[in-house]
Amino acid sequence: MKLILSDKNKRVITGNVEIKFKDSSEKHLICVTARAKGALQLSPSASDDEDLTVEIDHKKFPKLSDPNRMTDSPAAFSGGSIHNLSKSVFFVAKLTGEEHVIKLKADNIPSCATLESLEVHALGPGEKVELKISRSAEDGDRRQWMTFVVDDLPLYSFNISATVYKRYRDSDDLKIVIDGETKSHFKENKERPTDPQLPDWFYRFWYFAGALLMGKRVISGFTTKLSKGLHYVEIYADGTPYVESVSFNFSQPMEPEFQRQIRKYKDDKFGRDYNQLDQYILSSVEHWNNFFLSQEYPPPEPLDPNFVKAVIYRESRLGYYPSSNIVDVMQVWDDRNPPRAAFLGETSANEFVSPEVVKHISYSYPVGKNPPRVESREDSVFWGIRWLYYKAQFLKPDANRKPALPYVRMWRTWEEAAAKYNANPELLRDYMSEVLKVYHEGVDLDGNVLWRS
Amino acid sequence: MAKLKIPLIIFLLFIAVPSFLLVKTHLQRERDKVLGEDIENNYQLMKNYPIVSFSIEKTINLGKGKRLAQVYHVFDSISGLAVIDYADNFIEWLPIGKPFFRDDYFPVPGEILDWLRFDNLGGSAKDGGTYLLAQFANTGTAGVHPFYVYSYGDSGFRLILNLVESSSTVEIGDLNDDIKDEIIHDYSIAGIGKIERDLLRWKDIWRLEGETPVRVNSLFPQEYQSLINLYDLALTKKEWVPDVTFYYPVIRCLKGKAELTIKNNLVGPESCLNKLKQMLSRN
Repeated sequence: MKLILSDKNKRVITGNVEIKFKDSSEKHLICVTARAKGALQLSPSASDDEDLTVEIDHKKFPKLSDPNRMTDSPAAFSGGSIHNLSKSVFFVAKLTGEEHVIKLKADNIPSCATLESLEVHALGPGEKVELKISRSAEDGDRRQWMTFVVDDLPLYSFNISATVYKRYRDSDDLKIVIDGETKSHFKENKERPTDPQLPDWFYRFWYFAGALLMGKRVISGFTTKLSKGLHYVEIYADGTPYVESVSFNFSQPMEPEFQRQIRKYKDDKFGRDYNQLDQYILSSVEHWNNFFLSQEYPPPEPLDPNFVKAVIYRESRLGYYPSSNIVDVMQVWDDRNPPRAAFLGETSANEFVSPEVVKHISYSYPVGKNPPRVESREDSVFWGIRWLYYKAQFLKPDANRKPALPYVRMWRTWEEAAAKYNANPELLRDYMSEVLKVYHEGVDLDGNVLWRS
Repeated sequence: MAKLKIPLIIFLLFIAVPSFLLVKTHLQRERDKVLGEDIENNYQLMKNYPIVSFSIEKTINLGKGKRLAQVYHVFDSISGLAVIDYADNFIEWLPIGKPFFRDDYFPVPGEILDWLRFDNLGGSAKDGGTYLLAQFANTGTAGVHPFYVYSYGDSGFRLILNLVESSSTVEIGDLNDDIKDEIIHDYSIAGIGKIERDLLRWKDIWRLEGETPVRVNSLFPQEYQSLINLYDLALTKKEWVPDVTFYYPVIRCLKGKAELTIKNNLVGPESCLNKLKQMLSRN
């Protein structure tokens, strides 16, 4: 996550206020913290609460059950609900173009609200959203405290780490509502909490109940499997609960076993450590698998880190040829080979982005890795796997071999992708036969047994 | 009303005639451009061809209203060589100039154009002449740079030399100052992995006798000493023993060929490649 804008100028918002920023990243996290008063807090005679709504690039965030209702949407700051207590709304949104505008709209003039802070972060492609909140709610009765707005994205799961304390008279409680459905601790876990003296029905809608958890830090995950669209995750506070962190997965993560099972190679002859790149392989495969699995037309089969390991064995003996100092272990940055120019945009390398857009692969470069460079083995593995993914896909053509709108992405098998990765006209079968022999049987050209099943 | 018609017609003629003459002169100039003149980057779509996604990337004037165009299929990432007119209409593909994926993975004539030019191959560094030289690059770790030499005459283009090898480079130069350029093709006989690309190297030197390519390695023995040095290093470097031992028979074969070349024998690496293929198939 890269901070693009930070506005901590606390001020009263009257009418409409526009805050502009420039950034061409595809996804952004926008955090607005504000407070709004209820009618009775304004004056005994006031008939209307303060309300504040947010629009991003003219996109509105209405109540899910009624697209015309804005001020009582979970994404709005409604004085009647929050009673001048601080509320934060986190928007995870896909924005197009470079120039963006956030519009803060106080309800009818002279209504106003108080903006406490506004932050904009750019998210890298495929980047998991993990937020360190480390904050206690201001003391108050049951009200909205935080809302996470996920726009134009799927939402596979949501995790929260929180602590609630048992207190005299009124303990801390925390309620989780996802797309209008209140998460019940009992329903989710199908078990009662351990304290039989407490009337559990009382807490069935407060997922974290201080009287039951008594200061224990609890990490809870919610698998939502919501398809692409507008989604709200609301957190209600009662008392002063503490939230340490929250995280979102927009796509189904790879099975942990699949991620972690990388075969260990052995070298009895020369004592080489052929497993020295395993961590780079695992992390890069996980990154690009998650990136492409979260897109439309995901690969039918995620890339297997063991397949990558076999390719690297063929390309550079897993970092031992021509010397143990070799950096470009996947050979993706070799001066003589064109992928480097393609990565840097000097030559064309276009792929599917959405049913409406085909463009250069640079759209996928994570923040902090743009422009690409290979200065370490980790870089070589990271970009080598990206190149393999580029070679694995193509656009579905029509009868004239012209990709037709809306674009549809097709996938080659990983073996075909590796053949294109090497692109050797004469010895393709030999290249692939060794890669596959190492991958499937663990034996190289020399007959060295690298692993046994 | 009739009074207005005559001045209006005169006015229209006054505008139309010079415009027509200007356009005609411009088109005439375009048609009169000589072979090899005005290399341009274009980026228009090629017209009058069933596949509509070919972008015209680079053109060279051929004269007589025609241009040579390198076209690029932006979705398939594949290039071709075509003759087009000044309105970007397709006329014909050059031999092997029509883009397609051989075996569904290897693009022909190539993926991305490295360079193309007309050359007389007459020892002059200047462009121009009736040989069209084109080098492409395929974006794989094998580092294949397909190279083509066409002759161009009244009957159009004729392919006279096509070199497709791994980890390849082509240099054009007059190695013996006889006012005839040589084509020096440096490559790996098998660009499977880095070991093969680095060590199983060979060099062919070509010369065109009219429209016939002739391999003239034996005329330039001095070009082969560096290969022998490389093979010796590969056969003796201790650090490479774990990785290179398997290839020793092929490297010894290549070294033998280079030694024969130095003794003015005309030989190529084909039998060494066959040896490698046999070794690979045994495994």
